[in-house]
Amino acid sequence: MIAVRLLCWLAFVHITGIYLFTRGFLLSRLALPNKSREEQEQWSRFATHKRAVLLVIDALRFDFVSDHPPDPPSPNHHNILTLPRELTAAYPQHSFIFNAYADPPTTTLQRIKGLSTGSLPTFVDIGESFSGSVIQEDSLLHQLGSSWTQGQFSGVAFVGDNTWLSLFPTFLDHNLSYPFDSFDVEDLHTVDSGNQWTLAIGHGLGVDHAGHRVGPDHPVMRAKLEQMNTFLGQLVRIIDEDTLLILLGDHGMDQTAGVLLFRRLPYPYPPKLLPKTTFPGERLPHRSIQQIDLVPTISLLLGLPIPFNNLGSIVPELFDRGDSNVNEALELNARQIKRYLDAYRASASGGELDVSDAPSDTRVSALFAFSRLSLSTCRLTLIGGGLLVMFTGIVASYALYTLLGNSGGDRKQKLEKIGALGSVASGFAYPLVRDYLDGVHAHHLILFGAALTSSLTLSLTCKPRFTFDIIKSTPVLLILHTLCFASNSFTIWEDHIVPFLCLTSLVPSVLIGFTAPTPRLRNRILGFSTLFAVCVRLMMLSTVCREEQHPNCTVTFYTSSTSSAPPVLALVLAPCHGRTTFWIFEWIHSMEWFGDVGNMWLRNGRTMVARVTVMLVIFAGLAFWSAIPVCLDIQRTERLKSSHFKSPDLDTQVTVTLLGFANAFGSPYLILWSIFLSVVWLCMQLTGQVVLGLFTVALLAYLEIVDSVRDVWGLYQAYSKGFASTTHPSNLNLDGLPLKREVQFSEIVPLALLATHAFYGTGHQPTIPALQWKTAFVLVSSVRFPYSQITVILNTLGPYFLAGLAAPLLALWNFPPFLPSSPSLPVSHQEDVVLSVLRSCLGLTTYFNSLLLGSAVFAAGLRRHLMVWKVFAPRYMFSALEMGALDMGVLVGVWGVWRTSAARKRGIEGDRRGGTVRNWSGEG
Amino acid sequence: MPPARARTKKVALSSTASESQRSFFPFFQYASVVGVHVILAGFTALYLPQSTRLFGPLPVRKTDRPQSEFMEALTARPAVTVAWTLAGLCVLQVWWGTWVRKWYFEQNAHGTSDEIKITRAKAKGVWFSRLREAVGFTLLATVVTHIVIVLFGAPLLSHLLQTGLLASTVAILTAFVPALVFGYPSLASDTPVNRLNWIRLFAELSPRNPVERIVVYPAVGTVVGAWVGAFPIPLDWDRPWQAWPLTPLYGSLAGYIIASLAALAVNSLKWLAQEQLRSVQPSTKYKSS
Repeated sequence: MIAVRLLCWLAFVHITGIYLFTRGFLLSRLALPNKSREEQEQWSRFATHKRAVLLVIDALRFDFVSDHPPDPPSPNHHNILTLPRELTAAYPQHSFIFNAYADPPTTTLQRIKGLSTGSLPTFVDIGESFSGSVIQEDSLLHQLGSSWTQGQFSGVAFVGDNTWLSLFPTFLDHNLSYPFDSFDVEDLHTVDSGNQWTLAIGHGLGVDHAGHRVGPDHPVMRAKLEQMNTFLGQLVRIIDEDTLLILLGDHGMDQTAGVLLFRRLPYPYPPKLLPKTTFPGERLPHRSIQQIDLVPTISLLLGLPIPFNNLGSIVPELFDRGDSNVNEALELNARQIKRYLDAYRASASGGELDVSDAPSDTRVSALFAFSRLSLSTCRLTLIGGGLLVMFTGIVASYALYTLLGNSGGDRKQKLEKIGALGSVASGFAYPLVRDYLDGVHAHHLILFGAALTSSLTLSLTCKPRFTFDIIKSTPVLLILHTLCFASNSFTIWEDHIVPFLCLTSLVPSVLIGFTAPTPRLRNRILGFSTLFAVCVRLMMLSTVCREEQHPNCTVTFYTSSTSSAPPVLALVLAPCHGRTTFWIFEWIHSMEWFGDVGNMWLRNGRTMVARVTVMLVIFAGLAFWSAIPVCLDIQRTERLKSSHFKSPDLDTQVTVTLLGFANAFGSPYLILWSIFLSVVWLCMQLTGQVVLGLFTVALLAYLEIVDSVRDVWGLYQAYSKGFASTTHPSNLNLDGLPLKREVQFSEIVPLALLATHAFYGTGHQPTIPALQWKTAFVLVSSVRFPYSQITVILNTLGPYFLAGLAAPLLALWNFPPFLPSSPSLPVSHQEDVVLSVLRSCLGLTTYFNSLLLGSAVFAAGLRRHLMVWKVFAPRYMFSALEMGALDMGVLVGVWGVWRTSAARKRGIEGDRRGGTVRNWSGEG
Repeated sequence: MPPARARTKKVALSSTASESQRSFFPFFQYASVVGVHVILAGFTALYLPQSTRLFGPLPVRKTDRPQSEFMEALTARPAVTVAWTLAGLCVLQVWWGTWVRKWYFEQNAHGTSDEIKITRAKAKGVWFSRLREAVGFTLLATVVTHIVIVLFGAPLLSHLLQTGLLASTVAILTAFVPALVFGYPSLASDTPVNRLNWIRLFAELSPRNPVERIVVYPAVGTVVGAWVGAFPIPLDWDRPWQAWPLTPLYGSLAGYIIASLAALAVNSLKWLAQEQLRSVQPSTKYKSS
C-alpha cells in the first residue's frame, strides 16, 4: 500500500502548511486576564439607571425596525416590529434608534463575546461556534459579578440561547437563568416579575431560525416579528423608571438594529457628533455606531467600570447632560483603552505594537494599533513557514507526479524510501534556533522541519527533469485560476470564472475530436463535449449571490434572495426518491399546509426517511460493493466444432464472452463512487440535488471524452508504427492496442474546475454566511454533536470530496485489462493500475494545493487590504477546507481501487480455470 | 476544382524546395494591402461608432470619473457600437476576402499562361455564388458562435442582441474569409478534400503556405482575443467600457489585427529566407560541382 502511505504523508504536509499559516495569519488575539479595578465613584458618577434589560434578537436587521423601510416594503418583515419607532416618535427624548455595525465574523458566539467584552472578535473562534468556551477576559458580566459580591448590585438574569451560559457559567444567576434553544416569551415574564437583578439578558433565536429556514420573505417571519412586537409591548409596560432597555440585533447583514429606550433621563442630541449612515435601499440616514460601542456605554450608564479589554467608545449623546460630562466620559474611555494597549504591549506577543507616536485616545488609532498586532515577527515567521511548506508540498507532489509519468523501472524502490526520512530529522534543531525565533513553539518547528525535509527529500529523490515538455505543458488555466485570488473582484466572481475556465480546458479535446480518424470517435468526442458544456452551463444557472455581487446577480438557488425555499423548477426536476423526498417534506413543512399536527408528523417523517436512507446507502451499499466488487458478466456458449476446424482433442468449441471487460476497473469503482454520491446527495437541498445530478452527468461525459481522446492518440501512434512496419492500418484492432494511458495534467484540470463549479452551483460561496445551516437538521431534529456538523460539512465540501474520489476514475475508465494470454505478469500490471491512479490523484491534489498556496500568499500579502476579512481570508479558509476534503476523497478512492483490483484479479483467475478464453469483447 | 487542388496538395507535401520555385506570391502587394486592411479595421472599430452621435445626443451618465468624449461615444450604447463595427467589417471583409482569394489563385496557378487565364476567368465567374455561400456559412457560424459564447457564460436570456452582434462580429472575422477563399466545408462525402483541409487548418492549426497563414492566424487571433477580452468584465472598476460586449469585441479586433501582422511577419520571414535560398543556390551548386 505504497499509494495510501504516500497520500497520507501528502495530507500531513498539507495540514502542516495550513496549520502553520493559519496560526500566523489569523488574528488570534491574546486574552489578557487583567480586570478593571478602579475606585467605584469615578465610574458611578455617570450612572443614570439601576437596571438594564438587554434584549438580543438574533439577526434583527435594521430595516425591520426602521421607520423608513426600503421601498417597496416587504409585507413579511417591514413595518411589523413597530413598537420601537412608535416609542421614539412619542418620546423623542427617551428613545433612540440606531444602526449598529458588527465586525466580522458575524456568528452568534463571536457577537456575544464582542457584546460582553467590547473587544474585536477573532476568526479562530469560529470553529468553536457550536460549543463556546468560557470567557476569561474582563467583561460586562465580570464587572457586574465583582460588584455583586461587594453588595452593590444584584445578579444577572438570563433567558434564551444557551451559548451565554457556556461562556459565562459563573456569573449568571442560576436561579434566574432559563436557557432554551429558542425563545419562549412566557418565561421572561417570570424573570421580570422578580426584582433581584441588575442586568437581565434575553437572547431570542426565533428570528434567526426563521431567517435561516425560510428566509425573511415568508409569513413565518411575519408571525415571529409580530410575536416579538407584542412581547416588547408587555415588557415596556412592566419595567420601571430606573430600567434601561436595550433592544439589539446581534448580527444581520451589515447593519443590525439597535434601540435604546430610556424612561428616566432625557438627553439632547448634539448634532455635530453624529455620524449617520443609510441602510441599503432606505431613504433617510440614521445614526450609526459600532456594536461594541454599547459595552462602555452600558457600563457607564449603570455605573460600572468599563471592561478592561474594551475597544469601543461611548455613545457621546447619552452623556451630554450640560455639565461637560461628555468630555469626562470620553476621557475615561480613552484612558481605559490606553491602559489596555499598554498592557497588551507589555505582554508576550505585543512586541510589535508601537503606538507611542499616536495618542491612543481615539477609536481609530486604537483599532489601527490593534490591527498592527498581527504583524508581529512571530506571526510573520509562521506565515512564512506555512507558505514554504505548502510550496515544497506542491514541488514534491509534482516531482512525484512527473516521476510516475516517466515510468522508470526503479520507481518502486524510490517510493519505498520516502516516508521515514524527514519526520525523524526535525526536532533536534529547536534548541539551536529558539533564540532567534521569538514566540515560535517547539511543536511548530518540529512540524515545519518534518514536512519540509520530507518534501525536499522526496523532490530530490524523484529528480524531476525540467525539459521542454514541462514548459510546453504549463497549466495556463491553473495559473490563471490561482492568480484570480490576487484581486478581490476575481475572487468575488470566481463562480462565473470557473465555468469559463472549465469550458476553455475542454477546447483541446474538441479540436482533437475534429481531427479524429474514425467517425465514431469524432462523434463521441464532439457529442460528449457538447453534453459536458451544456451541463456546465446549466449548473451555472444556480447561484446564491454573495453580498458583493449585488446588484449584478440574482439568486436562483432559492426562489428569491430573501427566501430559502427551493424554486419551482427544482421541485419539478428533482428526481423523486428517498433522498429527495426528505427535502420535499421539508418544503411542504415550511409551506405550513397541514397545521401543527401534520407538521409534527412531517418533521418526524422526514428525519426517519433521512436516517433510513443513510443507513441503507452506507451499510447496504458498502456491503454489496465489497461482496461483489467486480462488474463482469460471463456468457459461455458451446457449439459443435465446424468441419474445417479439425482438432483431435476437442469436440466442442467453447466461447466465453466477458461483458464489461473493457471497463473492468472503471465500472466497479463507479459503484463505490455512487455510494458516496448518494450520501452527499442527501445533504444537498433540492436545487443542489439537481446541480449534483448535472455534475454527475458532466463527469461521466468527461470520462468518455478523455477515453476517446486517448483512443485517438493511440490510433495515431499505431498509424505511425504501422507505416513504419508496413502493416496495413486497417488490420489494427482498437481493443488490442497497447494504447497510451498515462494521465495528463491537462486531463485533471477540467475535473478540478468541475468540482469547484459544483461547489458554487450547489448554493455555496466562500463566505461564512453562505453556509447552509439548514442542512444541520437532516439527520436530527435539533443540533446534536456529530450529526449536525457532519451533514453541514458534507453539504459544503461534498463536491470536492466527490471530485477527489473521482480522480482514480480518470485513470481507470476503460483502462485496458491485461490479456491473460500475454506474457506480462498480472502483478506488475496491477501495480501499473495503482500507480496510474496515484498519479491522477497527485495531479488533482497538486491543483488544489496550488490554489491553497495562491489564496494564502495573496491573503497574507494583502492583509492591509480593505477586503481582507471579507474576501481573501474566507477564501483562504475555504481553500484549506477544500484541500482537506480532497485529501480525504483521494485516500478513500485509492483504498477503493486497491480493493477493486485485488478482487478483480481473483475473479479473473478463477474464471481462467473455467475454460479456454477465446473472445474478449463487450463494452462497459 | 477538386482534382487540381488535390494535386497541389500532393505537390506541397512532396518538397518545399520545388514549391518555392513554383509558387508565385505577390509579396509586396500583400504587404501593402495588409497594412491598409489593418488600418481600416482599426478605424472601423474606433471611429465608425463615433457616428452614433449623429442619431441624437448621448445619454447623460453620472460617474465619479468622467471619461473623454471619444470613449463616451463608444460606450454610450454598446449594441450600437457593435452594430457599427459589424457594418464596417462586412464591407471590409468582402474587399479583403477578394484580395486573399486572388492571391490564392495566383499561388495555385500552374500550367501555361492560357490555362491560368481560363482558371482565373472561371474563378471570377463563380465569385458571386462563392460570396453567397460564404455569407450563408458566416450566418451559420454566427449561430454556433452565439451558442458557444452563451456556453462560456454570457447571459442566457438577456442581452440577446448584444451577444448576437458579438457572435456575428467574431464569425465574420473568422469564418467569412476562409469560406470565400477555400469554399465552405461540406459534410457531404463527395468533397472530403475540402473538409480535411479545413480540419487541418482550423483544428490542427497547421497552415502550410502564405495564403493559409493569412487566413488562419487572424482567425485564431480573433478567438483568443475575444477570450482574453472577457477578463476585465468582473473587475469592480465601474467603467462604462466594461459593459457587455465591448471588451470581447475590442479584444477580438485587437487579436485579429495583431494576428494579421503576425501572419505578415511570418510570411515575410519565410519569403526572405526563400529569396536568400534562391539567390545562394546557384553558387553553392557551382561550388559543390
